Amino acid sequence: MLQRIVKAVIINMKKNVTFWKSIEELEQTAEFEARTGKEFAEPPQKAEMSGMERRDFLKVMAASIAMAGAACTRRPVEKIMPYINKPEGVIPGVPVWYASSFEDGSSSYAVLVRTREGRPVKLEPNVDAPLNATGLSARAQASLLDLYHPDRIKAPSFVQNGTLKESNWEDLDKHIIAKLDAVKKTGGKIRVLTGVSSSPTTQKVLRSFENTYNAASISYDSVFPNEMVEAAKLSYGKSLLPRYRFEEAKVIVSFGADFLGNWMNPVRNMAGFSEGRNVDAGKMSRFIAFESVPTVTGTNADMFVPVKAGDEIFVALSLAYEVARRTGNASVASSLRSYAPEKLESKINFPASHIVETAEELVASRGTGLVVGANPNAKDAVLLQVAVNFINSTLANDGVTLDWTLAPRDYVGSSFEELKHLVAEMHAGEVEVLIVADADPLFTLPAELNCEEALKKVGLVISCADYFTATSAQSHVVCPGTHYLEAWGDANPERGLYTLVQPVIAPLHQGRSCQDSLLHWSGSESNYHEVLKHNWKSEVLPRVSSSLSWKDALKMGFVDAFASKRNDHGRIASAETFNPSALKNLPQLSSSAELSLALYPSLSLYDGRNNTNSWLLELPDPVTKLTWENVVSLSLATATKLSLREGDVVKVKSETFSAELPVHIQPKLHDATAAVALGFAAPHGMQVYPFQSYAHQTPSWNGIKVELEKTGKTALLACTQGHHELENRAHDIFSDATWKEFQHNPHAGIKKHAELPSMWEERKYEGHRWGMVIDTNACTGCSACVVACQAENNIPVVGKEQVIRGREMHWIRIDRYYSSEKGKTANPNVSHQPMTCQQCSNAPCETVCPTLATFHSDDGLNMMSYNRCVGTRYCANNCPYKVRRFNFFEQTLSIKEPMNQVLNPDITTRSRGVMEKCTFCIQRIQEKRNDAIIEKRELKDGEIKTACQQTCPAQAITFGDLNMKESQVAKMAASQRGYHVLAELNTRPVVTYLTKIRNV
Amino acid sequence: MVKLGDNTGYAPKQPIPFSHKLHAGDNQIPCQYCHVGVDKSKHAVVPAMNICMNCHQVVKLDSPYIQKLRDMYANGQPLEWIKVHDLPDHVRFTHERHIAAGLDCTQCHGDVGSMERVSQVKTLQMGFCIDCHREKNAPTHCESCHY
Repeated sequence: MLQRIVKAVIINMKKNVTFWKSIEELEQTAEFEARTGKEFAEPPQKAEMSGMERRDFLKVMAASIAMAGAACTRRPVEKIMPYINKPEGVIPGVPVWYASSFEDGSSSYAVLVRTREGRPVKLEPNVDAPLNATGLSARAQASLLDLYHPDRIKAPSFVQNGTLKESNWEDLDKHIIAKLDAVKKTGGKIRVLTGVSSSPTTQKVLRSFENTYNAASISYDSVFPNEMVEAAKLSYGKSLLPRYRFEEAKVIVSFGADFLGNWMNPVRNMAGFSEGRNVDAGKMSRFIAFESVPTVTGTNADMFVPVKAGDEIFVALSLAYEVARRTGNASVASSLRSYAPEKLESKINFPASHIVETAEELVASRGTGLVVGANPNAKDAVLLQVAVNFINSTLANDGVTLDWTLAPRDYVGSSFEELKHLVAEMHAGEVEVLIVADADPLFTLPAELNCEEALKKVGLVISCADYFTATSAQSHVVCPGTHYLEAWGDANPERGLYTLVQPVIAPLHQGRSCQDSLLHWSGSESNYHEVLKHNWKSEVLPRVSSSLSWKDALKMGFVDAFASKRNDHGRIASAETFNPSALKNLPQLSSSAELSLALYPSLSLYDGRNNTNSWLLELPDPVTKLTWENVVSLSLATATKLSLREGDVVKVKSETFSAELPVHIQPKLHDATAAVALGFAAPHGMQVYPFQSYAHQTPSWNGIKVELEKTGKTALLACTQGHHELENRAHDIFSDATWKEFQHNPHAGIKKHAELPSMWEERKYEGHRWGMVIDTNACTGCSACVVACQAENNIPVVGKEQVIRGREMHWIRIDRYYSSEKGKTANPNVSHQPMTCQQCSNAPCETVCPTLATFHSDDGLNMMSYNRCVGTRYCANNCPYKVRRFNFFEQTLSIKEPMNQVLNPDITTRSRGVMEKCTFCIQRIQEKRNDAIIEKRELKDGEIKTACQQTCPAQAITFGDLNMKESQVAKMAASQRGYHVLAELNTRPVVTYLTKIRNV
Repeated sequence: MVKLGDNTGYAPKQPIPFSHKLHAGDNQIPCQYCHVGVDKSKHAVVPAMNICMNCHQVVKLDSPYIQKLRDMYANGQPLEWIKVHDLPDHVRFTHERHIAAGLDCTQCHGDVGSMERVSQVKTLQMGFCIDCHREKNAPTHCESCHY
């Protein structure tokens, strides 16, 4: 072996800080050393697609080529199918845009849908809506694929012996209406269980159904932050959900809520959070996170304090005590005396200094602080939220950084008590008909409720579902619903703000929206479209303006009745209205040294509602960088103590449930915490909802006592980090600095390198020169750009096997770097760096291509022409950024109908044997340049948006013409925080990164 | 030497023997009356059948081909035209830009107004495109057409 680098970590002489990408790299394990340094995983893999080995194929071909005569010039016959009746306004080849909206649990976004020839191919944020103006989340981007999912239930069916027996709507409706009428006559109970939605017209439909059949409806979602609503009721007497203004917060404290990931409105939160840390404008907030599970939000914290799962409540109460004490609230302080920081230190070994410091900072930033709660269903979640409310109100943050006035009228679900009551009714055999829509209680509810038994006692269970879920399998009838892109609807995510959902394609299968089903069963003559239109014309639109028409609303996608008051800092809640007796049922301060389990909704799968969406399954989790399954995360110390290594399969055992999961070693995790992501189910991962504890008759997702039992098995984890070694180049790759350092020196953190000569003549870029700036200070790691790029550029999904081999195809990836002082690797800093093709001016890939398939364009792009590529892979070998992806297999063969309809026709779908990489969305550049040339005008700055840029909620990516005067990208590329990755290799990349600043 | 990809002279039989000579030549119907959207789209847009029916609701009803057209229109069956001018999949050609640049249809498609059955008269190989592009100072960098 040639000289090996003994230690792959570099010690920065000044700061004594090391950078590392994974535990294996830090530890320099033998497997890691064996794997890295190799460009491609060995041994060569046989393609399952064709039966023949490559070498055999060549042998056969060599023989047959000798026998082939003159090549045939006849090419395959292609047909053109014209429209029979061309719809007005549709020209084949020209995209048509529609405005719609997307609701995902507690998040709601206004989207613009790009359709081609009548089918949606891409989602973009509707920047005019005052909701999520700047972007969309990863899950929102991936929702497009769900429309075309081959597993969607095609026809209304009866369920027999757990399988579907297809039928038709007429028969099903007859059967259902007959039963409903019969039950109504005998006075039996009819119940509707739905997920939580903010749709006002759906409420109307439910009311009309309830009136027709004397029914009642419950809307409950386990992952909806019900505890916040209950806590608000206890604290202020009103059931409300607040809205946050992170841009106005100078000090932010969180107890685990993933507000930059998938909690409440993460897109708006990210925009606000990034704005509040716009260092070039002199703004910097301070974010302190107390988390039991390191979420993507926590990785952005200036100070991260690992907490044992279940102990967040004590930390929150302790913080409330400190704040009460410092603000002279003697009564609350005395009632919380047992949670004084010293007591936490002595009884549960939690460092008092963290709480004291945090309290000091919060009190000092009175009126500009913001405390946020924990992830859904934390232990003692309601009380924790009450403590949070107390702190916010005491410090006069209400109305400034959090706003209760924007809460919409009807947007709260039913309480868990009401749900329990429903299950009890079912157990008692009182419920004759149960309609389950947009909910999967058998998958998500606590096992103690015994929903399966309860369902068996219901006379008729109707499941309005798109997929064959756990609940559908136990129903009698399945009524397939519609995807939001095929359906009408509305949403009311904020007070006065109403968004519309409109179909952009006729239902692909025989689905019918559940609202239409309910209307039909209630005997209504109208369908949901008509009801929606009527509701808007008579109630919603008049609230906004008397001159607004239905068509206007459809075109805009939203209406805002509260527009002028949206930024008012009204205060419903305040210290005056806070009810101190809400701080009751205080838990005993005690803890054990055992392992405590935390269940959390993963960023990609959330609560599991789309757990078969392959884009989401292949999306690397921003924290663990794992794909395709869930694991049990442990800290390095705990794993070492239990003699467990990455990939060892253990049986996680709680008092009521056990499951086998592979171990993943996760820095920043508290030693006494084991973390497992929810939402997964076989064959991709394990169903872990049954772990949730049901103490005190409310579900709790953390603080569950577990034991780990070795099984002796090991598993290979599909991790996308750890395929490459940093090779002593950490500081050439990522620059960061502290806020203090930055204030003294705007170039802080950037490693200087010598001016390097170039072998080639400097290229002249007359005309356009495309460039990009990525601000790592704004990037939170949410990975929306990864999914947006996948949707826009027809990037294939390769599956777990191939990801293990390092063959994931994402053109943009978010590299996660840990950095810590020597020896202090348990709680390192985390940095996210989106990495795309750097479009180098001195590209190492261009010089080695034997067929000139990759070359440099006149406008600064490194181009890729797929048809010339013969698959040498030399270019990928030469690329120091490792951004080139090779199509080892014919991925198009694995696209099952109708998923082929999601492909973007404006870009080539690559076949086997071809190299691909980020092209700066050349198809978008060409489209907009086309438009400008035809309209005989110049391109405007910001007119061309790459897919990643357009979806980034934090606006971390800027793209444009470096040669354009005063363009945004030119200004930012000249920033004092700007640096190039691996600059000393003299590749002269056209992507400039901006330093990350931490407020430590 | 066999020339690969040269399809000059390709004149496939179409499901209905539509004669451009009759329509575009003798009756002087302009190209863009039927090929709507060629100036707005990448595609030349073979006309939708309702455009044919604009006239053929009343014109030449006795012809068996018109009857075939009317039957298919009534039954919702599209006519499956055979594509004559086909470029390989890795080429992205935009009609819109070429119309905007002032090109006449005949420059690449030949004198279609005199064709009973459409045939390809130019090679449409890359050299053909590049020759004209160089002459007219149109973009010749690869990513203009290959991406």
